[in-house]
Amino acid sequence: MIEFRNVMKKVRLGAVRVTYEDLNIRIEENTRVAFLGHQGAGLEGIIDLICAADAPDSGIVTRSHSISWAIPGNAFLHRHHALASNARFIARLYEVDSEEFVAKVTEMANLGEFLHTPADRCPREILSRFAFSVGMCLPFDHYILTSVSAGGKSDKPRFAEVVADAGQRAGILLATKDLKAAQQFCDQAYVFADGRATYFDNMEAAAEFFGSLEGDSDDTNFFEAEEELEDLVNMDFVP
Amino acid sequence: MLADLRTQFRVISALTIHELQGLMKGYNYGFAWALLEPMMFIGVMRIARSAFKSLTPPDMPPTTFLIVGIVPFYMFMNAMSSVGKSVSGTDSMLKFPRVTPVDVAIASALSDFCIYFTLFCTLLLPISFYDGVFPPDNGMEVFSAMIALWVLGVSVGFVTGTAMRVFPPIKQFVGYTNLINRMAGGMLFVVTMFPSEYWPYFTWNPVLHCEEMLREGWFTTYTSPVASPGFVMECILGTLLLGLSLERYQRRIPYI
Repeated sequence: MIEFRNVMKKVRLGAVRVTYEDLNIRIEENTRVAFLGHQGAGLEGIIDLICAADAPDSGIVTRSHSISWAIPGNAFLHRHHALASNARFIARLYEVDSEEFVAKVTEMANLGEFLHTPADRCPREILSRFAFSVGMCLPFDHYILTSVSAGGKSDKPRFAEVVADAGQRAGILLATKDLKAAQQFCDQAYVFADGRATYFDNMEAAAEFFGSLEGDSDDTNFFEAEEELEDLVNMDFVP
Repeated sequence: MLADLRTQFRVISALTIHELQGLMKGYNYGFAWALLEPMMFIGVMRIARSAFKSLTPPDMPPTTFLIVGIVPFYMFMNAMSSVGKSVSGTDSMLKFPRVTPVDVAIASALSDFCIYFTLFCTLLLPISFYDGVFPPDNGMEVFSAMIALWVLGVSVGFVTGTAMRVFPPIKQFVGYTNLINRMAGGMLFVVTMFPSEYWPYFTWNPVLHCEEMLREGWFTTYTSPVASPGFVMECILGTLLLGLSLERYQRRIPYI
């Protein structure tokens, strides 16, 4: 179970600051929950709290089962290391057999010749598939997702199947503004807006409420935007 | 409890290997710089010693004397700086739920220990043999002093890192104290090179005690009149307790 008890957190989004006060959230094991929020709702901050990457200003966040990091985050990638070496690091970190893990990741991400290529020489599509697969190939009790697809358009159905499969054997927490994806993979939701989290035990009511909120229709998924920015900063120019 | 400790041990070892592998990649010159900086310093000091004989004590071979002092001191400084950086900033590894800031800090300090301990052995074994001061008088004392310096660096790093996180300009102050430590930390001298009335100006510094223990442990001709392992232990326990308490307290303080 993941539980927020009377949590207060000020989330900084550039000049804007969102303050969540008296946040009480309870996510049971093996549940498929969506965290819905438009850009500026401060979902990144909430996900950081869940993943213990940040601490609340007050209140308590508890986790009683294993959770993933925000998949498909790729902040762990060492750009000079081959993808195989990066995968071995994750295997060591999560105490799984590294050769078996590398084989699983290679197959899921369809890495082919790029397995032994340094990350900074791999195309974005490969890196995206790799980051997604590394997380999904580990046995977590709850998968924290910020996107349900990786790679190109042709990879979408395959990764959707991976996420659906993970939802059968473990729990899913999908933080997104993509209502369609949330409806496809989740059966309950918290909608984050104006410093409040509203719980819905069915997706229809959540969708109706989320649709009624004012959001910036042109905004891109902020997690993706953040990753794009990270890539631009970290990647060397490869002719 | 034991399972948690086991997990933390695995996490720290995975992060340490990851960090060392990162340094080894010649691409960013990390490993090369880590070795070059102290080696260049030793080289410059050795040349200076050729011109000014009084720079090192007459009863200790100058090159061995400098290596015994300089390499462990660099290890102390780098451990302190690595822990300070890990505690004061946000590290990408913290995105993993099972990695804590303390794990990142210890892992980066451990990688520094590995680098400088390897450098210490690689340089010192052949050179001390050439200088005729091999084997060390008390190898255990040398090793204990190195460990003490490293732990002291980690402890001070926790204190300065937490301070830098809540008040970043303190970085300047840390820079000045490092400069004082370079001059007064015993890296380039032993206290017997000064008249005894000046010793109290140096003996407040636990780094000097470690350096004295290193020289005492290596050279049969030197017995330190001031080295106090008890004082070093007290300083380590005090700063480690303070540093870990501050780190625990400041977790709820937002990053500036």
